[in-house]
Amino acid sequence: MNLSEELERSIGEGPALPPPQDLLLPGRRALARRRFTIGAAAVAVAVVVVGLTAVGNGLLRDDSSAPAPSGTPSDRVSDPGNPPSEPPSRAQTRQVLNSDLVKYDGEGRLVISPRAHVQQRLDNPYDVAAPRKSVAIAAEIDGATYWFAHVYKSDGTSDAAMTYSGSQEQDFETWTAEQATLAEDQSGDGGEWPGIPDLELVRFTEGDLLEAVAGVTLVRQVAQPDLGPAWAGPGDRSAAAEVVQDGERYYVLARASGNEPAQYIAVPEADGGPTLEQFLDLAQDRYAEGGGGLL
Amino acid sequence: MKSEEREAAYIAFVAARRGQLRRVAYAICGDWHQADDLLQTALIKLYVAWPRVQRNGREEAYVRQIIVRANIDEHRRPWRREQPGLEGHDGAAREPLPVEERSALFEALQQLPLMQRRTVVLRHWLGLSVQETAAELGVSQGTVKSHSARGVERLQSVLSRQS
Repeated sequence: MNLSEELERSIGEGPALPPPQDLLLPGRRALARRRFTIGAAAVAVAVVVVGLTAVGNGLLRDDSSAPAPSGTPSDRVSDPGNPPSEPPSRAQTRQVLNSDLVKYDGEGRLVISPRAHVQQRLDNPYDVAAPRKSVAIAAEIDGATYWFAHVYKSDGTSDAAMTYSGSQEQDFETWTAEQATLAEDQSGDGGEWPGIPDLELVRFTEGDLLEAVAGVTLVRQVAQPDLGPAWAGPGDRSAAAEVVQDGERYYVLARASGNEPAQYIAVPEADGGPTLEQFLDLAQDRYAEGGGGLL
Repeated sequence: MKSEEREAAYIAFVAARRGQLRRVAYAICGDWHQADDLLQTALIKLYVAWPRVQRNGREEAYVRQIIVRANIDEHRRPWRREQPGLEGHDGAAREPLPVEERSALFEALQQLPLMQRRTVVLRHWLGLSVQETAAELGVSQGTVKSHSARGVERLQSVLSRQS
């Protein structure tokens, strides 16, 4: 008797499902929560065009290695979303977008063709840490405005999204924020669920107070972090902490409800972000989405 | 990717695969209502990650992995669900299926310890390799082999009694 066939028969089909379109609204809401987080970071970064120097192949190389100085959207050279009087044809758009007119080279230098006239630039809109880099560019090319978002990865490759601005309903900043998944860890699934469930670094003492276990240094802690109802409800014990063990920095979330055993989730600094606050932003985002939160 | 293109591609995938993905959730959790919740959670997360996941061609594996991991989290936290049901489709309001309609094999599957059940579902129902099953569950290949062997042994004994 074939087990696979018997299982297939035994599992059945279940009751009717709602229309798939019903998922769009909660999906958009979840995406909007992420856009808001990314969008806030994008507004805080520079919107200036920095010095460009000519290099080979008729391209221009951006020699700025550090994040550009802060600016505001009012620093725009011109409105990056203005459609041209005559929109480009599909063939023209495809030709422009396939021409690598804006790109990172293998060493992480931003290279912009002389054909592309930069109208607006957002430096590191996805808040990636070195050696990774990110940039969003609105550029006028052959009379039309195109938007580019690039993420340079530590392995020397880069990911990009690009579009003709006239085909988009949203503004440049919103479109840039929408491309945030370019910056997500694509090496595996660890970036999606960075939590380590069995690495016990702290434990609850009284109330929402945590103490470090032996060999661990408790750097600081936050009682009742606001991570939404999916993380902890009224009456639950909840805390977050930054700790160091054997020179490695971790963030920890802890929660306990009623007589249930406490749950401790550790996240390495490399996955959790450079500060406890940024880690809490990540955790808030994950638990708002559902899907296991950090685990 | 334009938002309307994104949504059209997403809806096409959901329409084509959600039935089978919900069966995966049901096979693991044994409850259609909870399976609906798990599926919804996974598909919303897929919507957010759609450009990246679609680019990698991992849509189905991504959703399946969320279902398994969300199910893990539910087991760790039996007192709370992460997401309510879809608006207008309250799972709690639906009538449960009669237990007697479920086969002895399915009941035996639900009686397996969670890790055995998950390895049997992925490895022996869906036909994933040991390596793929280990990757989806985040465990070693040895763990997959030992748990699936014990699980299959128990299910085969049920099938033998039936025949």
